[in-house]
Amino acid sequence: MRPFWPWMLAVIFCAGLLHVLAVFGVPYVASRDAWARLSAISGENQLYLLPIAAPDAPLPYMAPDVAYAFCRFDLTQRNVMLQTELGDASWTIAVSGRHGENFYFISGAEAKRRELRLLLVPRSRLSEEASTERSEEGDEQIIVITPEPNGVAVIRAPVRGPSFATDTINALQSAQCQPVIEPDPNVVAVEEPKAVPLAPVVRGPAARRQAPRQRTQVQ
Amino acid sequence: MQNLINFLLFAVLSLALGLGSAYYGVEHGFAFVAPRSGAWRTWVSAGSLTADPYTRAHIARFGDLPITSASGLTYVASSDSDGRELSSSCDYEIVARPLNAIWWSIALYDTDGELIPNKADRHAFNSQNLTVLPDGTQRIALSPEARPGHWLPSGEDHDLVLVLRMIRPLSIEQQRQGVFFDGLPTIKKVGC
Repeated sequence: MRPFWPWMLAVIFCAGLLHVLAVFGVPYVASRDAWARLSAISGENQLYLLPIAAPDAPLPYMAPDVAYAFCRFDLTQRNVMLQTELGDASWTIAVSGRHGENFYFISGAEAKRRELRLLLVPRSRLSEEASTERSEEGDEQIIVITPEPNGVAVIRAPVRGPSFATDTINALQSAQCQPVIEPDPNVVAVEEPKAVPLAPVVRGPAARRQAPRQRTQVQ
Repeated sequence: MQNLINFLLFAVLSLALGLGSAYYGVEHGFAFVAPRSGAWRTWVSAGSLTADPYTRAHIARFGDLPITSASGLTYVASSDSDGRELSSSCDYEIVARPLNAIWWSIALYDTDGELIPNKADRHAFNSQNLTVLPDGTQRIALSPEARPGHWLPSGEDHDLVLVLRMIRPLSIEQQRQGVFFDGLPTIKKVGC
């Protein structure tokens, strides 16, 4: 009778190989990662505000006592400015890569200011970047270097309780995420009337029960 | 004939061991990537640029968008402190002491990560709305029936998952020392 142990060794080797291939392969074949889920409901370089404690949240296990606003950014052509009020110390902003690598995080407690401006700049364009920590208008801004041109910025605003939800949403609605357009030195600046942004409507719990969910585009 | 039997055994065992262990590692996490503290489990390197392959696969599979453990910790509990699965057919008491974090919250879900509909429209309590009792504890009753104090409705016919989130729970010194949070809330079964 032939010895059995060569087969067992082969089993251990092949099982190990399959294990490694499966674990490393999941991120490449996963079709429902956070990026895919958010891409299905949003455009790029715009901020979207999600209803609080919605029953059909785009991501699993979203905190029901947090108001979320997110911006999928694409820095291929231009830098992007993320600008928001910080309601209190518990508000946070996280900037993550396409696969969820969180490379920047700041909370209201650390920011120590009422309003925060983050200038997202891709590492690939860093050598030709002329922006400083003060914008041309004199506003303070934090320059965040992103390892890749695509990613997601998420503002999380904890809600103290249901009666505070409207205040929190109102504060979040003033947030913006938009490409930075450099002024053309060959064009004489002409003052234009300011565009009035559409007032976002966020449905309350009672309305959500009766009507299909709508996601609100802040800007 | 013997070779054919050996080959079939080889194929079945390889697939079962290789893919089964990969599934377990990605779904539940091995202790070295997702350590437990009482009833709670956390994926330590979630969101990190240097996350291990199991954590990367877990995040991709579940569609989560994590922040790093230096910025915030997320603990998940699907069993009580005695290791029995959380079920909506039982009553539980969650006992916490104020946690040293900028903000923290305990939220309740079903096993698909969906909120459990309830008339009170209540799904979580956090450090801003939980009162501290005279003994220094904060208590939440997890039950399908209304309970006095802080009541988290658990609905009916669900297995339950609790998620504890903390923002900036660790000092810089603790982060340097690799200390992770202790003193997490306990989940005690009261009755079924």
